[in-house]
Amino acid sequence: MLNTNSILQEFVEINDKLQKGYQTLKQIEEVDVATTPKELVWECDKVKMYHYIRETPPKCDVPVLVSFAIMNRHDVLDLQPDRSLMKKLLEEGLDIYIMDWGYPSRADMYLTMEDYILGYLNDAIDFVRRRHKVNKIHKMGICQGGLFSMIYASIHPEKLKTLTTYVAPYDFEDANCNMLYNWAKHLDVDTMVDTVGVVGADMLNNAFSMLKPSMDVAKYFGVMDMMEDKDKLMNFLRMERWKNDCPDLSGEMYRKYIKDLFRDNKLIKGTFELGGHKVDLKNMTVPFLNVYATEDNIIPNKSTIAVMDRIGSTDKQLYAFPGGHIGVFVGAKSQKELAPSIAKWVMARSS
Amino acid sequence: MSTKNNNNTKSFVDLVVETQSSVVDQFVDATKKLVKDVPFVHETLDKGNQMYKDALHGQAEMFEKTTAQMNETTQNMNQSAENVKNFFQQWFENQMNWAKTTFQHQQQNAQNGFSSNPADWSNQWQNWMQQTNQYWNQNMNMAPYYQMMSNNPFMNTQKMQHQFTEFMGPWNQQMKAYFDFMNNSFGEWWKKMPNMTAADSFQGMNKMAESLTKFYELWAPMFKHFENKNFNMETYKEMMNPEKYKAFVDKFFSFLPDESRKQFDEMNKQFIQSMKQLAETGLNNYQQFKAQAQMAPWMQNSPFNQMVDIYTNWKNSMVEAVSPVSRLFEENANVKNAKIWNEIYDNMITLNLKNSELQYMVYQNSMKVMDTLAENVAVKIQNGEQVDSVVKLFQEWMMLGDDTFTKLFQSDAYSKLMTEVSSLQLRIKKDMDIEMEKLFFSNMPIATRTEMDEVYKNLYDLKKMYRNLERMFNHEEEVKAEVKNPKKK
Repeated sequence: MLNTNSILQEFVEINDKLQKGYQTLKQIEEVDVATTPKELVWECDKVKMYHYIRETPPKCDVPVLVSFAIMNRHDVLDLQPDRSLMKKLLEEGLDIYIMDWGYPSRADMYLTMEDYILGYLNDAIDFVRRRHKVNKIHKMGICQGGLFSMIYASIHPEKLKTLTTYVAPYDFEDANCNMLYNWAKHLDVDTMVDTVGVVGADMLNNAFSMLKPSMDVAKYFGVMDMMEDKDKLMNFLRMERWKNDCPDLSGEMYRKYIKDLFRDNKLIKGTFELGGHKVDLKNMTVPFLNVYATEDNIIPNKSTIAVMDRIGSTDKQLYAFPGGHIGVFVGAKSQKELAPSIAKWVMARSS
Repeated sequence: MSTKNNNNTKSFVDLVVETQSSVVDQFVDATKKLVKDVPFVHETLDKGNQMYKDALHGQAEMFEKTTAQMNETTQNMNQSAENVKNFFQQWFENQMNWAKTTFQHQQQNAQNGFSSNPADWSNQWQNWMQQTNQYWNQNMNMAPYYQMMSNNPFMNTQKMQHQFTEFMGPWNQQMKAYFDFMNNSFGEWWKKMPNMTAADSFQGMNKMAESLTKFYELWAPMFKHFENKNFNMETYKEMMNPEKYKAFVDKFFSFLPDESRKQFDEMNKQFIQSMKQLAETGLNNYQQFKAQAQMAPWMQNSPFNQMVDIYTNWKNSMVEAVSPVSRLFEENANVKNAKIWNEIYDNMITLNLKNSELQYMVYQNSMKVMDTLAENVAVKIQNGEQVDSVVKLFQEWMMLGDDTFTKLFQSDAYSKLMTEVSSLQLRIKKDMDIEMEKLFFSNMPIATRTEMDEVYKNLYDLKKMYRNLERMFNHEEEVKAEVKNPKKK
């Protein structure tokens, strides 16, 4: 039967929480992210590279360059002091640089995948090599940044000591993996790029939100219960800030990404070309650590794992992280288990 | 109270009145505290509170009277379970038929080619406009599916709603009034927040509460059956309000409400008509316009900020000044322009058609979600369990929805159609951008987007050339250094 009293009470409580929410949120003046100290060491156009400042000398001489997906900001890797993959890796003794891809505008619509991988990324890697007077550095790439790092490593293995990728998509063959893979197959990317020049972040975010349509409504039930717990609320707000802070994408880069990788799966098929180079995964011979999230609803596990049999590396390892796509960077387990394990793996290959 | 003699409903109504009165008191106190520096708000709240309570008691008295009407209504509602689906089917067919008729007519025009006789062109144009206008007028009169529903005693949603509103008056109406009041009150508060992320979050919470209210409204007519433990799929099908559910789903997926979309389409149609007429006259009046525009006061201050206004004013004045399409000459630039706008409009019709189909897919699946939820609720009621939370119902709907909608979105049929709609939208935008630029901005003393894109391309090429030279230079330096001081490998 119906319990009218509890239903009415429920609505009263919600409105009470809304009022409290207003009072609490009104007090918040700043939602800061990415607070681990770092300095700008290199820049080219809108792309920048930062070096994290260490208080103690690193435990290994070979520096690490981290690059995140171009379609998101890298700030999620240093979301807050107690949920910072970067801070944890620094504490473990690594010397870390990070790429900031910037916010492309219409003026950047002609930037190609080649410009990003063989231009900016390659120049940044060369800069770090020169700065540390080493031939090879450690490379880490996350999500799309992992895929781009894999392509780079297949062209320039001589510049890398190791490659670690997190939740990266490699194999796009199975369109049923998730809806985004299927949509990409049918997308009229030429019309899109020719029309908009730069692909809007909102459009991409809307597509991602369809992976779990209720998310944008359901999350607020939880938020309303956080109003009296400032720490939890700030955690939520930091994540919201990150999620809403998405750069647009250069149209030409997006065109090749959808056509050659998503649609034609050329990297896995061995037919992918970039800047006159034929990208052969068998040339990727550097030690490789492939981290995937077992509950990843954005990048299907089989897409990430598929690369293992195709690369030339003999020193290669899969790391199954129990959690979701974002949990890899911000989850408690990421701090406690994943970061130390990765640091250990990287340092073991630094000599 | 007038409900004393009705044992079935006494506690229900009393509880509603008591609880809501206390809710409003609580809210008024809280609001007063929050806006303590704004005296007129206090006064408004006090008056509003009293009016609200009076209305509440007044409506409670109506309760007993309407119970009898309810019994009558229930007896009338014995139609098949497919009726709710019929609503969406009819909505879809209505969209399809209109678009097909208009689109086919356009296709026919295109196949016949443009006549060299301006009178023929004009007639076709007028027929087309007439047809389109008919459609809009029809929709203004609530569209055929409303007529269909009026003819069907069950599908007469308005009547059904009216009866339920009367029956559930004290509960339903007052809760809605209360939540509208609350939502409106909170609606603008986010603007006072200094941090944008916090403000966004507060807006999100508000929207969630709004969705919950809409969800509640959907289920409220069924509460009486929960109370009487006779809720089942039949009562659900009878009481489900497809119009409201459609509005709820539209909001959930941010579809434009039908009326807004029609207004948007109408706006586009008028815009394109203006474009055609402008194409006809060419830009002969441009110089005159420019001379006038430069003398205008807004031109002296910030001309670029006012560009949209200039364009709008110009367009409006042109529409009034120039003659209709009948003045078109034979194949010349103006006729070509008119054809382009015609194509754009054709694409818009196709877009409307495909978009309706896409939405229909979502509606169909949303009905599956609601049906499953209703089945679950019916089982609970039959098992003697309590329905004590609308939030839980809403959360269950979302959970079921995630499962159903993601399967739909992943399907080939949806993916193909969705990307087709997206391409059409983009193609229309692209074509319109080109034509707009050609018609208006190419003669303006500003760089057009096409020109800027060329500049960007040149800059891009130059930068790339420079970087490649720089890399070659660095590489040569490294090789020289290597030769001088070979590194140990």
